Amino acid sequence: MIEIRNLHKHYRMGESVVRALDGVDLSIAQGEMISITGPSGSGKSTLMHLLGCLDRPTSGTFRFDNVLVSSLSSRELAKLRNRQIGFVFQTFNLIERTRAVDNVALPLVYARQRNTHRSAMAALERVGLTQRAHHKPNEMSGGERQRVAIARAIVNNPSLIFADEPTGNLDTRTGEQIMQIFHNLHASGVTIILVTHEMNIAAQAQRILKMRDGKILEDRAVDHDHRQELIAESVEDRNTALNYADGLRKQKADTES
Amino acid sequence: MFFFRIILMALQSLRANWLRAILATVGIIIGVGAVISANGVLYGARKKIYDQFDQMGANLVTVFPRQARRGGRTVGTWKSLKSTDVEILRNESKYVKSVLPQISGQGQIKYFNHNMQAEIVGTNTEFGSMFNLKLAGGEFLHPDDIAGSTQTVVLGYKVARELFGGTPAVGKAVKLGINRTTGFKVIGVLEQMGQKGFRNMDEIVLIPISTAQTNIFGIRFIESITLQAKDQASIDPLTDDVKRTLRRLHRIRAGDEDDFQILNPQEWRNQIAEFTQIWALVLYTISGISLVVGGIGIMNIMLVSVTERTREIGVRIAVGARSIDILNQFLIEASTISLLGGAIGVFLGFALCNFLTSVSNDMLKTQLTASAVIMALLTATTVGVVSGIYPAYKASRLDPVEALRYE
Repeated sequence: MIEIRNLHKHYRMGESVVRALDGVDLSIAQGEMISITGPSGSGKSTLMHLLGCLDRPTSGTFRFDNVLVSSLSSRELAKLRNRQIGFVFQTFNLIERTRAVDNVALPLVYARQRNTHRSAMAALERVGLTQRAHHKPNEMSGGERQRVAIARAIVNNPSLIFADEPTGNLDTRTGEQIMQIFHNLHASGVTIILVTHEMNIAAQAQRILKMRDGKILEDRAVDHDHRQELIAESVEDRNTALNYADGLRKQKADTES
Repeated sequence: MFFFRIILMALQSLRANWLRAILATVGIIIGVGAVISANGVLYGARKKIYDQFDQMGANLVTVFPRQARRGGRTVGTWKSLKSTDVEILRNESKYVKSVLPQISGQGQIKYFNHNMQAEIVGTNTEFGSMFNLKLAGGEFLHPDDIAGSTQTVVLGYKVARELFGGTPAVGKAVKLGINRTTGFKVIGVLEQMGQKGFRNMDEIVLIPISTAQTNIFGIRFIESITLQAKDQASIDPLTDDVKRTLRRLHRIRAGDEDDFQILNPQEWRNQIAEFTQIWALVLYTISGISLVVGGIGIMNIMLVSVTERTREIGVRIAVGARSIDILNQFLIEASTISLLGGAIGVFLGFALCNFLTSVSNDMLKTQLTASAVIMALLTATTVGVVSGIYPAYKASRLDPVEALRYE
């Protein structure tokens, strides 16, 4: 489905050139569920923007369903994003002044579809949110907003969904519910690409790409043992972080007393 | 359908910031309001003047004296028209139906202890027929009165009423004059006629022109000569005849200016139309400045809106909006704001017109034309489109990656 060869993306920052992507090769098949992980500045967001046809590479080739993306006009790119790709963002990116159902219908409007309401309601039903269809985002919880964002991403039945830190702004339980929606979508044949630095989220994919300095360091299928290992690592990391936070609190309490 | 959805989106975003949108359109509101009310006043006034011409009588050509200049010196005077001109004009043109000399001025008229101010009009026997006046009693001036300079008078309806109440006036003796009054015999009273052209026929008194010249105003010239053409087609040839005859009578050499001026109804209309157009142009220019200011206000608010909604624009591009869709959305928003301001302006202008009509006690009947309203709304929309172009272009050229990162 996705085939990239020697992909580069360079930015000029004053005198220096930042190599956000530095010769990336990658193939993704239809129906995969992939996590892209890495520290900040590793190039994972840049890779997502390029794969999501929001940006153009400095060099290299990118084929989407055997179509050379660099040969497409901006109008064709818009159509590709509209029909084939859905985006879910960490901060939901909903339009605050419009109701949930109107937010979901937005891609249908740009697809010039007539009866957008019915399809938007169907998408909301798939994420279990029909009862909140006529509420505005500011009347909803974080989990509900993210579900609206997912409904917007799937309303045009795309073959590929990008989720950029989809649980980053949610509590653990809500995060799990959101991940369940992604698993369901994956089960129905949609390709899912998760961009995250949370290992317990990344571990839920079939395949993990680890990035650093614009390169893919590791591209590995996740088997059962590896998944347990990653989850344990993330729990350990979490415990270390919690212990550290506790320590800080105690230290603060001691100084105050 | 898609266009309709875009309009709906534009309206939604306007509703979210409706007060800001209204404030942004103050310039447009004032501009359009000014155009509409100015238009209403101007065309209302023009219509009133036209109506007065129509009431004045059909196919009239009026001659006034004018100071002519010859070699830089003033030669003719406002005394250039003479009684002798009247008779010659009557006989020299085949297009003339009747000829009416006039002198007029405000004077006093008394009957015992009743007295009032009235317009004293010195004229001849044709005044009544030319202006379609009817008598409530008695008779009009007779040729013998003109020839004999008799002290006879025909009273307007209101004058007779003020002086005599309900009692018969014909045959009674009144005194009239400007500085000192002399005795006149009332020979007729007019029916109630109201305003005819620029003159209220109920407040005049008619006396023989010869009597007016010698006994009242003490002058030998006449102020104006009104000629009635036989029909509408005769107006232009009659004007030519009058011009030729008067130049000969006044011994004006070829190349010199006339010492009189002729105004025919069409010329009057043309002059008034020209005057209206000049004023309309002045007022439209002033309104235009306000519209430009309004346009800048809208551009400003749209630029703020594009910056505020950068992230939203990024999302729209991510879900499949094309550059042209974003451009259209912001253009439609700008023109909707402007059209809204225009509509409020039309409403305000309309209200102002009605207010002016009511405070002037219907003296000034403002006239609001559909074409003015359509033009005002079209102009407002155009201002919106023009001032929205730059912000909309800026929005449509945003880099989606940058826009999605915008905080």
